[in-house]
Amino acid sequence: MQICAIGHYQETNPKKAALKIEAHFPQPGVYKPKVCTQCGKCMEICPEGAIYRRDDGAYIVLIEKCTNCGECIPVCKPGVVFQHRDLQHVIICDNCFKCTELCNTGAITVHTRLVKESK
Amino acid sequence: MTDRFTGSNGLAGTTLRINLTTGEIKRYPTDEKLMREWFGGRGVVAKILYDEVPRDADPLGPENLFIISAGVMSGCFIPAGAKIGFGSVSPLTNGHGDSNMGGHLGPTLKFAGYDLVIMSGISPKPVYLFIDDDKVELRDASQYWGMGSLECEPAMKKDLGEDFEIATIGPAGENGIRFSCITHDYGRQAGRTGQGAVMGSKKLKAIAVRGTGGINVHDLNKLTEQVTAIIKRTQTHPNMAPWQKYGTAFFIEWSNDNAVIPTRNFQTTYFEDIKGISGDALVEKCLITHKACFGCWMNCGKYTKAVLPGKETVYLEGPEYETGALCGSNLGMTDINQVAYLNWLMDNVGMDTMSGGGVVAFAMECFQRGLITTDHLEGHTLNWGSVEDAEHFIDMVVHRRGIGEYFSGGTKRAAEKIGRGSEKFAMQVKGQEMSGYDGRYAPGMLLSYMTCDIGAHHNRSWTITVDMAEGRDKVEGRAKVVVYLQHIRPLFDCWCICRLFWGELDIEPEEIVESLNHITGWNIDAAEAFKTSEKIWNLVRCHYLERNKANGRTFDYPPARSWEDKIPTGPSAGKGLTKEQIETMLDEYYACRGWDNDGNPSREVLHDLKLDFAADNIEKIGLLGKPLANGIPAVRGERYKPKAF
Repeated sequence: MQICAIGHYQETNPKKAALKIEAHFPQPGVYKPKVCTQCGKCMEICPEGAIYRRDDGAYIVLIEKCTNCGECIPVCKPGVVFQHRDLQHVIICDNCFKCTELCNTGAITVHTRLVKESK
Repeated sequence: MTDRFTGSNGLAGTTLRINLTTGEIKRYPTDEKLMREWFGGRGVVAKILYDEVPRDADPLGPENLFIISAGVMSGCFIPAGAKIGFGSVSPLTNGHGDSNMGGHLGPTLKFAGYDLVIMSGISPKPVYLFIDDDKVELRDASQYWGMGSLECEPAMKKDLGEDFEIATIGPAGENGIRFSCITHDYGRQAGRTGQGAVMGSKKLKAIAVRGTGGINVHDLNKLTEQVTAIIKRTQTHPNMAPWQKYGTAFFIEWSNDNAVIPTRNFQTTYFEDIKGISGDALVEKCLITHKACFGCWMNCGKYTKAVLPGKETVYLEGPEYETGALCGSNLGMTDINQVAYLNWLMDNVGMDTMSGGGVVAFAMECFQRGLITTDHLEGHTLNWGSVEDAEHFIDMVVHRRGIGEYFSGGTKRAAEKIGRGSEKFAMQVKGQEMSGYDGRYAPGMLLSYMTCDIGAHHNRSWTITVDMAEGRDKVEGRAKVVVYLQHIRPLFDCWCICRLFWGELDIEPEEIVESLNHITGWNIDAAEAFKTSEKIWNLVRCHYLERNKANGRTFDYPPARSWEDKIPTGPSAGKGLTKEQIETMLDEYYACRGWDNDGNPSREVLHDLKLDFAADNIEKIGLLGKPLANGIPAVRGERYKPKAF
């Protein structure tokens, strides 16, 4: 989460990360990382046409077009489209893979099948 | 955004001062010079306590401060930069007290914009501190007062939102039990020195923080580059796998194999049923998931459940090593589920499992020797290995019923009341119970307890592996290593990074300081870091002398069991230290520190550390150390690289 925000905003601020880890405690006691599944619902709903699909499958937010209306947030099933009070646009994972490069436990990996299918 | 001071160089920017008596909340820009000179965390806490708390202030009264300090490195993309420090004059030791914990609270406090929160006074009614970025309020906590720590946290998250980080006290803290802890993240504790009791005395039930801001660092590119390299390098370090699998519980069997594990109140050092409470037993019988603090993939936390016949299944984090030893072998518990249950119980009532384990063990030995009987225990027994007996006794202590009142102040105060020779086996120094290593055949570890600045505690100088490597029969030369460790290890508590990650993976001090410089821009070297740590150590010593008004040496002795009783069983049977050897270690230690033979800092060393004001203060009460015949050592402590365990 930290490397995500550093990579995109040059800031140590996990609230600006396009990756979230939900902690479910005290019961059942599990962590659930939330990552973009590249379903494309955000692009479909966007009234401004501010989200497009890049060749590698990533959904990219056009910052200059995004009005931060938030329509894309409730349709995102995994819940990985975010807003932050400092920003005038939503945050969506752009496949930079900095998190997978850094993750030492193998909990976050690139799912090659999805990437290939999306091409 | 209002009143948010922009931080730089690792600082969040704002310091809060809160008067709990009047409810007044004031914001100040964080004093960068103070943070630079005292390193944040434990260091800045030490300076503020020294400067602002009257020497005769009751630790549980309104004049004591309760300080929260998030440190300069936490939350700054630094591995295991997750710590938060708490400080106040300790109700357990009557000296400077500080304790820290991991989890997520420290970084979150900084993301909300705050480096320091300094609280004074006593609230007229139970409150909790609510921080949501710029919004800071004292809120009514009457609905939470009386709740167990592990029950209060989810209740508050339900009311406030899952993204709030919560720290709470339990009934023990509310009732002024002097070894109460602060609990966060369902099992992270600031356990030592009774910080939970100070919160309770101030009617402060909890702290709830949400932060969405960022932290500016001096050179983000260099920091990212360096940290990425450390992450990759440490991934394959041989120590990493055992920490990840077992956490510190890995050491339970190691300690037993090396015959240092406290057993039945430190009567012996070898526990015959160790397999039942080992790291393997924990993983096989109790583990639900590995659990990590913010920014750490060592995941030493073990989230577990305890299943005991006739009892509701309970969920907890742990037991880690100290709890495993002090609530396991030290209480004669033979099953990891028993230990985990007692861990949960103490977490929930809000008492330190280390002091708590020590107190229950001391009471059990008193029962064994007939010093307390069923008449004192509401008809109950207090036998080794009985969870039911321990649970009933803990309830008596938490609610200060009957003889429970005696034990509410820890083993030292209990022994003073019980008398009849019980002082000999009240296993504490300066009022704080010993950690989970028996020092009778580990002289460096014993010296560490004796000289620790907050009362007996392993973390300031974990010398056990030094004893193993350098010879357990030898006391000469051990002091200089203890002093070195007492300088490097508390630095982690200043910077609020976890010493487990930074200390156990062969990361050199110079590398840590390089990270610090990337974050802060201070441009210091390791020698300056050590010297600042020494300055903090000496200030805390002076604070202790000024409050307790006697030669330091008089406070530095362990209980007489440490030299009167040889170890009776196990691989170290017949071993032990003599009183003369203990005196030799103290003599060497004081000389190494530049203190006189009475254990009082000399003016020369205090001047060298720019602590002339403290020298003046202890001189006024006749406790300034005499000049040393050969002057003070140019460098105090000798650098030591611990060998693999």
